Amino acid sequence: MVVAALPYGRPFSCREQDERTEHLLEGVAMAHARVQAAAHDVAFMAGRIAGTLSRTWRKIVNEPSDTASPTIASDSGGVGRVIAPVAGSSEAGSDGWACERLQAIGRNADKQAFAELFAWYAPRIKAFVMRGGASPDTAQEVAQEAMISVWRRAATFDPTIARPATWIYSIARNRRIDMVRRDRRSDAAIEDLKPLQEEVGQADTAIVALESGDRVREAIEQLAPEQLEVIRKAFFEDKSHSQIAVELGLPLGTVKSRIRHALLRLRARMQEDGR
Amino acid sequence: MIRHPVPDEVLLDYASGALPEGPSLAVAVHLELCAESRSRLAELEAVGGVLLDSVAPEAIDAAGLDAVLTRLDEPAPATLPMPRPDAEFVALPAALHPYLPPGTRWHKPFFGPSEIVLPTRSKSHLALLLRIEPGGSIPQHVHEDLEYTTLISGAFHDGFSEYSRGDMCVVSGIEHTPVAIGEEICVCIVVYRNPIILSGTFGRLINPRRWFRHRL
Repeated sequence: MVVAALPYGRPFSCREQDERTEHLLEGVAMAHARVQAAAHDVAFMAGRIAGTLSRTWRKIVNEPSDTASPTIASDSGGVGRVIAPVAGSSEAGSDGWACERLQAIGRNADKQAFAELFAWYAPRIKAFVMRGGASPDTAQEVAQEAMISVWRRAATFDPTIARPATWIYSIARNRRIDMVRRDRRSDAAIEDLKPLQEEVGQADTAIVALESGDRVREAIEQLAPEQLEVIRKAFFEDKSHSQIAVELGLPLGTVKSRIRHALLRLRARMQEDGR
Repeated sequence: MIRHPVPDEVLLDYASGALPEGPSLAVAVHLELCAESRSRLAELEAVGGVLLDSVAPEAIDAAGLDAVLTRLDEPAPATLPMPRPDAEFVALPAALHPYLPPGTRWHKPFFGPSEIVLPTRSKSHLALLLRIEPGGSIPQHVHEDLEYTTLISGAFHDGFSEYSRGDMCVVSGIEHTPVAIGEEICVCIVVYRNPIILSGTFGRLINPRRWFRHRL
């Protein structure tokens, strides 16, 4: 559409108007997002304060902590160590069960333990990769390669840093990057990060990473539907946040603020102390 | 103290595996220098772990397990001993080491700071290590797409805020001129998809789109 170049009073074309409206709406959405973020911050701080208070109370009345995470004791170095997998939690797929098997593989190259771990995780990795659009054959290949990496690297699994499912997830993700995206993400670089993890913030990392699967699952279930949608798309469909925005037909800013709120909520829930 | 951590949406892309190699490298460098971001990554990976637990499994036939079991006794494929970078680069974050094979040299272009083009396997992004002398700058430019910068040493100011060691700057669609500040030489990793378009008067003449095209 041709519009005369008048110095003022130039009529907007419909498209321009649409763009302006969209811009305005985005601005409103962002402002709304900021208010929400502030509310979340307040809730988060309140949660932390409540957590600290309840910890202090437990110390005062000398009650044992009721968290479900493995027992952590301080050795002379001050670094938390898991003494043993949680006794009596040998149900297939549980953290204790997987820890025992990974340790059996790492120490004794136990093939029976590996076969059990394979029976549980390989079909799940295959399903996970298929949800990202890979063919069943490729997905199975990724699952097999990931499990071989699990076998080779089991000795490096450190239960003080991550849950077994988290560790296996990160290995499977890297195999998927190698094999499906034909990109590179070297495991070596990730390995090199480990010693550094023991610096400042180590306590936080350990607490969050060892959060029982149930706690994390609950946190995920409590997300708002539109927040859950972006998180699921990111993990299951192997899509970047900008691809998600295109797919949902949303402005990038909206998707970013959904992600930020989702992560704020997850973090707040995961760090809530025993409820 | 990290003032500019990696944004949530970029960290999510990293945790899910959707972030391409070049930007992942900038994030990995940041993670090495920022304990808090590592803890945020751990949270996201924990979410990945729970989602992995939650999917309905897809059957793998017995042959699948057998194929894997027969491979377990094979020695691990001789993992190439990681070549150690030259002494000059050893102090750089370990995530960069695989990209700095022995013999890597700073390249001083006719215009702008010294650079090393990091040999990424994926060609979707260009990953550069830049060395900016105190007071030096990256010529004013506009990004068509996201640009990921992680400061490894020194500090710079891009007209909006100040960045120092470990800080990560992810920008798109804005004109900026990062200027190195302080006494120290500023070393950073810069990753971007499209060739930068120089927007200064002089810059337009030597638009690097021309010079960078052969690398993309």
